[in-house]
Amino acid sequence: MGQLTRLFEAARNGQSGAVDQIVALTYRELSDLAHQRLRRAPKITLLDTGVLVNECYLRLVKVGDLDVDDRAHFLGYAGRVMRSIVVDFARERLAQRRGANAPHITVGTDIPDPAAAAEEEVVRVDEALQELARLDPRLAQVVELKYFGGLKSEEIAAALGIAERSVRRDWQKARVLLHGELKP
Amino acid sequence: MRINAEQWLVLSRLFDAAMELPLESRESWLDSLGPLDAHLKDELRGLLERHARIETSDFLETLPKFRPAEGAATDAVESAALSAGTIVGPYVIEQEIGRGGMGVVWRARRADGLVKRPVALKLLRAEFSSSELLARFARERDILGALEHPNIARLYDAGVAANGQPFLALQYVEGTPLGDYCEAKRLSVDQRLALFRQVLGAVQYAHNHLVIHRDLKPSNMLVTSAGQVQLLDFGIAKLLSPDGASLQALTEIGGRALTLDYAAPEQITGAAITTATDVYSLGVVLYELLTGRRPYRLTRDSRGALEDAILSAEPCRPSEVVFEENQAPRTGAGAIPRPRLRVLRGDLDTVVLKALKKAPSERYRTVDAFAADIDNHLAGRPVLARADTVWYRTRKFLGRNAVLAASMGAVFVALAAGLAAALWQADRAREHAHRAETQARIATAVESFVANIFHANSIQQADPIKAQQTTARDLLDLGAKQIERDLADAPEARLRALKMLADTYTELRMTEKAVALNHERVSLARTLYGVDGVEVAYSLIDLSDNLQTSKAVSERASVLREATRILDLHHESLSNARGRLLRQLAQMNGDREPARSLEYIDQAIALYRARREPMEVVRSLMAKGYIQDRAENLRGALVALSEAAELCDGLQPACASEVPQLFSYLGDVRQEVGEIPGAEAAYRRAFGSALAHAGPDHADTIQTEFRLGAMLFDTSRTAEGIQTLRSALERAIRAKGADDSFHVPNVRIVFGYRLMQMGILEEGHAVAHDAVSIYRKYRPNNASLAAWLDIEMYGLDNLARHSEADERLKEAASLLAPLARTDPMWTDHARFGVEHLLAAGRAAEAADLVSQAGLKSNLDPGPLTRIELREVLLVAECARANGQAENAATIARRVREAIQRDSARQYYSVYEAKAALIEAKALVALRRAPEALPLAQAAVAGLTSLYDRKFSPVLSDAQIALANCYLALGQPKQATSLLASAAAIQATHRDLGEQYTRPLRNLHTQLNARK
Repeated sequence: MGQLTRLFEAARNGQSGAVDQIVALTYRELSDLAHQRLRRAPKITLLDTGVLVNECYLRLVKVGDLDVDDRAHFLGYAGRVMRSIVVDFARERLAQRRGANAPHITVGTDIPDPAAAAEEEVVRVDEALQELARLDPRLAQVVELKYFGGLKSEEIAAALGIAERSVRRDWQKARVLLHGELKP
Repeated sequence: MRINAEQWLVLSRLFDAAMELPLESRESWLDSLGPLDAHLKDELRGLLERHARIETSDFLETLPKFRPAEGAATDAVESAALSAGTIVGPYVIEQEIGRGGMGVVWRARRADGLVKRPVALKLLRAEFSSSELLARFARERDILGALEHPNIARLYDAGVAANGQPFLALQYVEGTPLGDYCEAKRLSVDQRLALFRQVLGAVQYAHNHLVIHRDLKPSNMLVTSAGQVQLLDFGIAKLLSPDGASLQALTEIGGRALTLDYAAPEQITGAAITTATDVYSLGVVLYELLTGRRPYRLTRDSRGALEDAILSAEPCRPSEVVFEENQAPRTGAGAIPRPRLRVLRGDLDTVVLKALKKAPSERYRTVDAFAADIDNHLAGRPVLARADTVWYRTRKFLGRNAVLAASMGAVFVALAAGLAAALWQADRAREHAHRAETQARIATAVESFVANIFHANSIQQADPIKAQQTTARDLLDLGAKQIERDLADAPEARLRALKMLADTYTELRMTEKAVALNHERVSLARTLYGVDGVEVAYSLIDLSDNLQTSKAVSERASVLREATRILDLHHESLSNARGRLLRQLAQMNGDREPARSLEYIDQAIALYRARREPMEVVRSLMAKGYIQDRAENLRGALVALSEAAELCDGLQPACASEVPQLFSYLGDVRQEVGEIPGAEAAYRRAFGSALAHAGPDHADTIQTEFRLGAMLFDTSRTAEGIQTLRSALERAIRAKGADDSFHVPNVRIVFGYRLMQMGILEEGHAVAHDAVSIYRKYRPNNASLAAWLDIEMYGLDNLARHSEADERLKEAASLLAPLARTDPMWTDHARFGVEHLLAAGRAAEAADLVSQAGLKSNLDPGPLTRIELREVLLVAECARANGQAENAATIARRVREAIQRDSARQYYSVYEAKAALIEAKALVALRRAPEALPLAQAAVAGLTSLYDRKFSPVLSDAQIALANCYLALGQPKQATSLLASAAAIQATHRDLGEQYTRPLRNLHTQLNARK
């Protein structure tokens, strides 16, 4: 039995620390992959996190850390992990950019820097998602898996153990609510 | 967030419910949510509005793109993962032949070698979710695979390979994209149009098979080396974007934008995609073929600017574009040959711009209509796009669906509110929406079918002028013939088409054909929906409508019984069909059971008032007027018809088609109650409207013209009346043929009777006789024939054929035998009978008949009526003939004075003259010649101006009466000259009745005796 699969079982049994270990392990794997991809990008890049998650899954299966049957479990964590990777990445880049451009910014730090629009968006979505989780945790989970995890409806449905139709409905609602928050 | 978790719990469910509704019914659904907290409702409305706004946007669909960090590596990515020889599903790929937003296209062959020829294997990008895709592939593959057309590249297969790779296997076409081909070959405008016609043919074919392309563009149109156009990717856009999602969603897939250059406005707004969407894209393609440019000049080169232009900018006229290009010619291969400019102006501009209309409904309704106009242009004919009856019917047909969709709102308002109810209502609305979608599909098929009829006509008629002269009747017959072939595998569409054709036949009063088609419809509906299907009831109701004018009374009764049973079964108590059923039950019972009939019609009126269908209220009120008129309740009829007329005036122009019939009825009833000016106005309005809206040869025009003519004649405008009636008869024969069984005899009997009264006896009798012969042939045992026989009898009496007249009298009486003696038809018959007996010199029998039939010798108080005047004067004449001169003079004087007092005196001058004549004759008999003289003079003067002065025996009779006055007053000279006039008139008729010749002989004898 793979390391992750064991941890999944431990987490299901309420063993403390199991979840943290899963996240840490997944984070390491995914983060490597993501940064590798971003570094290689020749120009403006769409970070295809869905592909990354699936590549990561295959790798973990290959090295024996994960059982093939545990894809759904893995995907469930992957969204959360991918979110923190992407948000961390964005925050880091924003900080770099601010640092570099600091002398030029005199007023209105709220004015979005077009060069950093993507990073801004990611951070703001992350914040709005925390709000959304208080209103309807499942909506937030769906957004996490879709927006950050890049997963398809069917994968999200599998990860959350709900019908694909529910995923689509949740996604619609979440999008409307977030739009209200982000673009009032 | 402004809402808390508890509120969200409710909002979330309501939001889900709203999502299941079509966009346009959401607002009324919101309104129906009564007890909901106002704040929540506003929130919900806000969410829905926001949803509509962002539904097709890419908000949060993917992570944003990150700009590269400084110093990022630049090694290439996304190299083709596949190489020649790789196996995908059952295919081996050979060579990459293209790349697009959807994926990569490879030339490939079957791996098992079963089929040697290559296919174009489209490998879709991984972003297309494979499980959804599989389901959709399974659904659409058969439909698309069935498209077999020489100009459409076949879809052989669609599936998902074992590794999850979705693929489409298409016919492998070697060719050049249409635009490149035209430029490379430097084709002329006509050559380009000919190629484009191939495209249109293929698209129409697909539309007939209910497939919309959705992504027509020149790169999807290849021309082979043989010059044959091949359309690629039919229906594939639908395959990839379910539920008619917007092109936006599709083009955003994979983050790589596809072209919007050929997208229709509705593809940007996310509105319904229909065949009109393809028409628009075809318009852009044609525009580009002709001008080398796209229709819009963009100020900014961005996707947003193009979207804005497609939604709101007017395209430049193609001819202007070419003109400008010529002013500042481009260099290179794309330069446009100069002659194109001239050809483009006018027609082609119009054609292209019509295809590019923003509103789908304003574009060519079908691709065939588009093609027909291009053909017209190529053949040098003016571009048509003209409306016709059948088109009108089609629009009506579509309009009905629109009404159905619009009335959905009312359903919600009417039902109870509350969360549970609201959710339930959402279910209902979804059903409706589903039905509307099915209907839209059917409508498209039917519309194409209609378009094909026109097309077939223009193909069959080598002579374009002849093709244009084809009557609606010819087109219908063509349609009836083609229906089996064109819609063989689409029974629901066939049912619709049958209805449409039957309706049109009905409209054209070609009842037998309508009956046949409706019979076919009933049995098809039974096959499709079972004997209890509500569609069966609808067909039966239409069938019964056709049977209305036929003698198949018992069939009609059983048809209506069956329709009632089915509607009861479906609890359709407030539907339009129920309304029509009630109306027909009312009509059918009108003659026999007026009270029951009135009940039915009042129910129908109430139903349509409740349904807020004013047009149907008008029609039902008309039926009520008719029923009450038949039941001799003239006031009741007048009330119903006046209300109908008032409603109708408020409904113009929608009500225009009802005006002829409605105002004819109104004219009839007003005339019967003595409102002559009102009646005349109504008849003139009816005729004018029929002529303007229905056309010179329409049944309504014939019917209204002869009513107007008869009315004019009967109200003492005899010459104008005869002229109008003659025109109506000519119209009827021209439109319906001399041996028509309905309109022509109807006009003939009315015209013949007036001709005889005018004094034109021989022609009048011949005309009436023709009418009677035809009526006898088609409706031998109908009670109404009695009235016609009476008229012929009048003619026979005038022509001294009294014994034949007697036979008509008896025949008429036997036809009326089944009717109660109180039936108004018996009274009508009695009047003619009295007239006949008096003419035949059987005065005593006439007097018996007068008392037996209860004919009146006194005018009723109130407005005068023509029928009453005629009746009272007959009684006076009868008294005079029976030697009661005093009595006769008194009755006649009362009539004369009543007319003179009446404000409508001018309309009754015939009766005034006849009353004066009877009174004068009676006074002479009473040896009161001095009093008689002015009356006889007035009678002669009146009748001279009213009747034909050369032929009228009635005028000769008045002249003889005046001569007798002069004789009694000792003035034989005047008498002799009047005798000569009267003799001259009577000499124009070879045979003339005793009633006229005897007084002349007597006068002659007396004058001779005096010498």
